[in-house]
Amino acid sequence: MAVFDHIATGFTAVFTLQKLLYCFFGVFMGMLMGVLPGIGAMATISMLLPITFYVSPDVGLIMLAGIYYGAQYGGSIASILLNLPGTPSSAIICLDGYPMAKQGRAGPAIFLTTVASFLGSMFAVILLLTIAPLAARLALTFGAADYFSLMILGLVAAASLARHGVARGLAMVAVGLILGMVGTDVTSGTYRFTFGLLDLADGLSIIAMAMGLFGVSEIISNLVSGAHRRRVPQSIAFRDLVPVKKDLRQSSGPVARGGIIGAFLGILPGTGASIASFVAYGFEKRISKVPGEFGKGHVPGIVAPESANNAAAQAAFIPTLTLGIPGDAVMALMMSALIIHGIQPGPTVIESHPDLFWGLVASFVIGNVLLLIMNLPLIGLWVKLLTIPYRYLYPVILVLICVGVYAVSSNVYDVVQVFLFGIVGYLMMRAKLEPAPMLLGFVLGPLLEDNFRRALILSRGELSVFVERPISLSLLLASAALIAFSLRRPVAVAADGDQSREVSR
Amino acid sequence: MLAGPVLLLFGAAVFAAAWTYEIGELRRMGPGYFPMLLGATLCLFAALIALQDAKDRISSGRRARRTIRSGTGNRFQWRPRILPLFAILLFAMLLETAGFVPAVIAAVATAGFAERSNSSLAIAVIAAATAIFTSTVFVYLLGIPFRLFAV
Amino acid sequence: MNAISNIVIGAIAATMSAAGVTTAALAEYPERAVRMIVGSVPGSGPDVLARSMSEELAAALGQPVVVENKPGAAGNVAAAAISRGDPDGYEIFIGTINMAIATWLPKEPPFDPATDFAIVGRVASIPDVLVVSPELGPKSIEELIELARSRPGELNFSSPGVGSLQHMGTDTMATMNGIEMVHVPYKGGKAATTAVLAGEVDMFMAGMPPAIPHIKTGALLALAVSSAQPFPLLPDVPTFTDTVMPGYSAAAWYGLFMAKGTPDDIVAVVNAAANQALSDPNVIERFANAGAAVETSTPEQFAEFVAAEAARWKKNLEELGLAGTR
Repeated sequence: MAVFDHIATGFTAVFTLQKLLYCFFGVFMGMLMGVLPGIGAMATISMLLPITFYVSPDVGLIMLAGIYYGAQYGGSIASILLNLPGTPSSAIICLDGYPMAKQGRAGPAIFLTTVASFLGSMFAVILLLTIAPLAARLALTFGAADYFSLMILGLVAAASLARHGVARGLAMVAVGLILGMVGTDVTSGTYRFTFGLLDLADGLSIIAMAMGLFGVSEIISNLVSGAHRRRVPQSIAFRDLVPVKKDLRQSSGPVARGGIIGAFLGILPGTGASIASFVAYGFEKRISKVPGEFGKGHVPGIVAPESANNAAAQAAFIPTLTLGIPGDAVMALMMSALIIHGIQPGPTVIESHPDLFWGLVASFVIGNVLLLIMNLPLIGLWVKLLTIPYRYLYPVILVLICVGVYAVSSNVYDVVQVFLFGIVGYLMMRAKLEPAPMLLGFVLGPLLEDNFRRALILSRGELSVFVERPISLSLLLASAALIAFSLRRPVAVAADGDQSREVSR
Repeated sequence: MLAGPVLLLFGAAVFAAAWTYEIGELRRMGPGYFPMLLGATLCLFAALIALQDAKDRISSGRRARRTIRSGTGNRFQWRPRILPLFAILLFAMLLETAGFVPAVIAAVATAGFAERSNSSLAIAVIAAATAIFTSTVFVYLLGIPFRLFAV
Repeated sequence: MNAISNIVIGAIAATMSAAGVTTAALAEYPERAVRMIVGSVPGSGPDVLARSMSEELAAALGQPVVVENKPGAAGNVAAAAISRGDPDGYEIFIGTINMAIATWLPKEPPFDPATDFAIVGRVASIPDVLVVSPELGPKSIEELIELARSRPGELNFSSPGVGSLQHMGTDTMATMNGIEMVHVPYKGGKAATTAVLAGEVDMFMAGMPPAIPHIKTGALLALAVSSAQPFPLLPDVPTFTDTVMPGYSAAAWYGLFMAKGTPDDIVAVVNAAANQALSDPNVIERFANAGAAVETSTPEQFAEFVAAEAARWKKNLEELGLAGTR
């Protein structure tokens, strides 16, 4: 069987001291940096990119990849403990992870997301080992119209997860899409809504937005309500750090489904991880018998998106390596690291550099095992962070947000954006408007518009293109079904509200 | 609840602003086409929210009024609302003019006073510790080229 | 030297430069780390080039060179900041052809590339290559023009954005040959290349870096290059000027810029150091891997070239009705 040959090639290639050390260094740095607000995979990789010039390309790639998926682990830790997401996919983790931490269950939450990350990644690795080249071909059949419809599905999923009615969710998606319009319009090159500021030519900062909407507004709300003074103390006894049997039972299905969703959406360049986690969350809520529990610290609400997110992160390597099509900025960065070394990613990379390709896949397995081993003992340490009195902790968090946002872009305007989104986020919280759908809308807005317009340029203005292509049609039908479902059975929580977030002083 | 009306206003503003850009046609849309659609869409959802909120208010009117009364009973707390935000702004202003360390210290100190129970001493200690921690991590370990002191 | 004497010397230097006696105090340039500013994200074309030469540049200057990314508006956020920065020579900007193109798109150009900088020297250039899918049919640039002529308004071409070098190049090719095609802009060269691979568009006049891997594997067919002479990395591909666009040559160029008012002797030091770094075989090889050919110049030659490019693309954008529209 070819699969076993691949596994053998991969592990033979990766079992050298140097590669294992770089793999460890990569996942370790990635995880640590993922925890720091703002400093995600992108910033860490760009800081460590020069190292790859001095080692062989496969070693460099293993390290960079480790940073990439290591950061995914770290990102959910900050989301659970402090409501500080760096990306839309970790924003999803905030929805149920942070309430869990407030209930004194930060330990189990981190434990479960760690295991879900691991399993999601392993799912994608299996996919890589078996059908990587085929999967890559599939990704190429996605045209502009199909991308448009996929994004519609992602946005509808995001809107349907709002807990205060689907109208609020859709409105926030629309606000996000509108904010995504700020900057240079790709199709015409026009600057839109930039108010004459060159610093806005590339749009608003996603990290500043996430930090302002989630992190800063949460700090203000905590201080105003005084909720932190009666916070549930975190137990750091070992048995309270691990999940109970019920958690595990609730997790198995969501993790598996999340892994499948993530692995398939991750193959598509550009959109993978964020859409995957939202769709996984929306899907779990859709099939759940207790949809009202989501957003209050429900276990499937963290494990499904976490599994999906990590599966997508691993699967994103498929188009990058086999087609030379980088899915996102981080992938583009890794691709250029290879190109500097004279390796051209593309359909022939598997044949011409089997050691590199299968070695990388094998390093995913090792890196994820390392992360699992490293993370579980660290849970106690992370949870201990929450035993620091909040009144000492929050000024530090606030400054870390500022430093992190600035470190990513070297632009003080981005820090000013944190300030503005902090205000907006606090007002939204008071008005029961949720930031997560807005964040996805913002990320997908430019892509949605580009693909919509591009599809219509290519079809010479025929709207029928969206229903003539089978992929596009089925995605649109799925979106319609999801909307119909949400309208039919609205998750009415307007009456009971969310006690923990209600601020009345 | 102001959510509906405010969003309606925002949507209308976007819709209006979209017309300052070229709208174009479906075959080749101008930069204003999509914002126009989005502005209109947002108006629609905002109207829905306003309706829903109005309905909720009628059905639970008494309860809501009680909440408002208890809300005005306390003095409006400006410290936790203004100081954290001001801290961010201060950081942005000082970072490139005064340098990294002064910006961190000023931001921690400003934010610290948002919580009444924080003593000046505690804030000073946190500020110093944060400055040392962030300088070590970001500047020395990560090698991000911040200027610690700009002068 | 202790801190106090540093401060004293610093104070003296400040007074002297204020009095206009810069040469004496700055004779020791560089005396601390130099920052190399890239106007785009890590991994982008200019970033790869900057990092590929930073080590050797540091060796030539005798001080560390720290590469820093300040992305925004096709590099022009960083360029605008540089032109107004301290003229002390500690910030070197790796500028691109966008300084001569994107600058003219806003209603108020953020700077004039020819006059608002201390221009140091040229680093590299990357010509464009027109690629099609092998399945499209045409095996030469002439055949492609024939095909386009027989199907007016039917073929699509991609570009990395409106007003990009590649957009204007394809447009010029269409005008010169009297053909009509539809422009489909994408976000960046990689996305525009993928569109050809996926068969979504028919052709792309691509920058080298995103196209070369696919040309090497045969997934894309290279029909012509935009350099004046055949390009070393693709020696068998004919030039546009020898085939369907007589007299046409264009390339994305990269060069070093410093703040307006930087003393000439500092410019000379950096120019010499950069040219030394660019003669290093390792740098040349890394550049070639990124699809770029090393090109060096004196400050004067490059300043002249930048002025000519600024005028050329400004005129081209005006003809397309794009100048001053943002």
